Amino acid sequence: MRRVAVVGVGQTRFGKLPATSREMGTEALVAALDDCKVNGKEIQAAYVGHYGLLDSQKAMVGQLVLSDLGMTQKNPMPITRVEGACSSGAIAFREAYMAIAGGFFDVVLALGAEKMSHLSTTDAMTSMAPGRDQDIEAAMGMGPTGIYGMKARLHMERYGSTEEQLARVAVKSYHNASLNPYAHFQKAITIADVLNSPMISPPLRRYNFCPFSDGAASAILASSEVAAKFTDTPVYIEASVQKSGFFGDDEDLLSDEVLTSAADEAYRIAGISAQDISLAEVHDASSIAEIIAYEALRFCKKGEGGKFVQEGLSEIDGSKPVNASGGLTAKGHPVGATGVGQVFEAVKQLRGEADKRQVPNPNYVLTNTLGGMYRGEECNRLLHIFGR
Amino acid sequence: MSTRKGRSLFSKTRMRDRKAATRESLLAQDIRGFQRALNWFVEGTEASGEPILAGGKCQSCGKVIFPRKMSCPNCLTSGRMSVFPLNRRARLLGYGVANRGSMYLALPYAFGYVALPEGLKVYSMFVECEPYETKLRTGMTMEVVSVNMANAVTGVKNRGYAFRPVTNGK
Repeated sequence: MRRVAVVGVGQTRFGKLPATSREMGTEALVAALDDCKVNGKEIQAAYVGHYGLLDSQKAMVGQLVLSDLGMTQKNPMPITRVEGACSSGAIAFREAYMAIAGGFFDVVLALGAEKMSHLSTTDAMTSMAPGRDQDIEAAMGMGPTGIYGMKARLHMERYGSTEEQLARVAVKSYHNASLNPYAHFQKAITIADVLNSPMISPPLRRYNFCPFSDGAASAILASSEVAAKFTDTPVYIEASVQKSGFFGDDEDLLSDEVLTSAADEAYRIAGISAQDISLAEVHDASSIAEIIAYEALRFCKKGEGGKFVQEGLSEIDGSKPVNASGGLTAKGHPVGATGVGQVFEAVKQLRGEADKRQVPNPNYVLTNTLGGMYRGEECNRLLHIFGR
Repeated sequence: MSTRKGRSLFSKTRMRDRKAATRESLLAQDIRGFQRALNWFVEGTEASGEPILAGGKCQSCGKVIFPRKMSCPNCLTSGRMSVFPLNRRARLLGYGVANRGSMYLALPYAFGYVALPEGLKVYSMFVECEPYETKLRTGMTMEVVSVNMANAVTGVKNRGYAFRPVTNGK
């Protein structure tokens, strides 16, 4: 297997934007090309994360974007759309990585784009139902907010976590987002703001959940043999792991055995341990998901995730910064773009280009993306570890 | 500039037919779910007040599943799944409450997972237990009932199952 580097990244701001996914994809891709010395026609293949079910352009966004930029003229490359619900972008990135690592290509593009904010929350949630089990669970009302409420209640019952600890996750995310010009929300909030916001799925409130965002992000990958041609600051992919779930009859609805085993595998491949991670960008679609991630990624012991955030350990200047970008909660969650947006953050941080939200001297950055929900667990779990 | 004599490029008739076709296709999709819904219960038990969920039992390896499917997730044998009546009582593993959600369901509603003695984890909505947060407790005993519900995605009404707390009087 060959070593693979990310040589260029670009993204739009995430948020409520007037543009279509095709326009946003173009903006993100131009930014990524400007970020490195890759000519658009040197790209040999593209993988495009796009959930598409809410979008007006439901398919072929990648083909349209690359064609708009003239990259396909006399250069008919394979362009593959990848769907994996909220992890669509992360899977597209992994496919791009594997295509180079496996020796098929030398320069490959990963793009993610999504248009979501034009729908009401109810319409958007209904449109997203095909990402769940439509015959039973979604047909009988299962939605991610309720599942996160269920997990938060179980965590509080079993480990004594508190609503204030859940609120602290959101306060941290909004604070970090206020330092990030690419974030959906640009304003810090207080614990009182969270605890006074509308109850969506008890014990979780409005600020404990990510918004529906528009946005696009792009990363250009190259084999280590040619990476130096395109950039002076390559960021290497040290590990890439993807796992679905058990979907079985396991009675522990809080168990994240699969994510833990995926993390262990990623640490082993990278030759490091959880202690070596300088920053993690995790899938905090809800505050409880971030607390569970602290535990599953072995940043703290099982059950101590609430204490971990309360002690400030996951803040930018803490011992284990998590979601310096603001995460899904406050940077935003345009589902197809989210995973590639995490890569954007990892690369910016490792290059020392993250300005006000910069984590001091990071060595390794981990990204974790989740997608889909069935039988109380995520359908896809993605982990990437980046290093210099 | 178009004039009144200019040729119209759309057909009112075709647009009307198209709308009807879309609706019919939506209904056709839901009919499959509806037919399945009629098969949630062991035949004859739905109207009895004590409906029994129809699981499947693999005739090859003995694995019990719910809902019943053609093939066995344990031994992968296909077409040897017989109807197996499931225990009416179950243990509540966890529940979530939706204050927002589907436009077709009355809010708030509760859902989650129960554990059946057969070793099954079953998804269900929970009824007859409002306010949910005082009446539902993790680990409590629940029982299956038959309910009228709307499909949360398509809005088409159908019959389904739900679980409710077992009260002392019963």
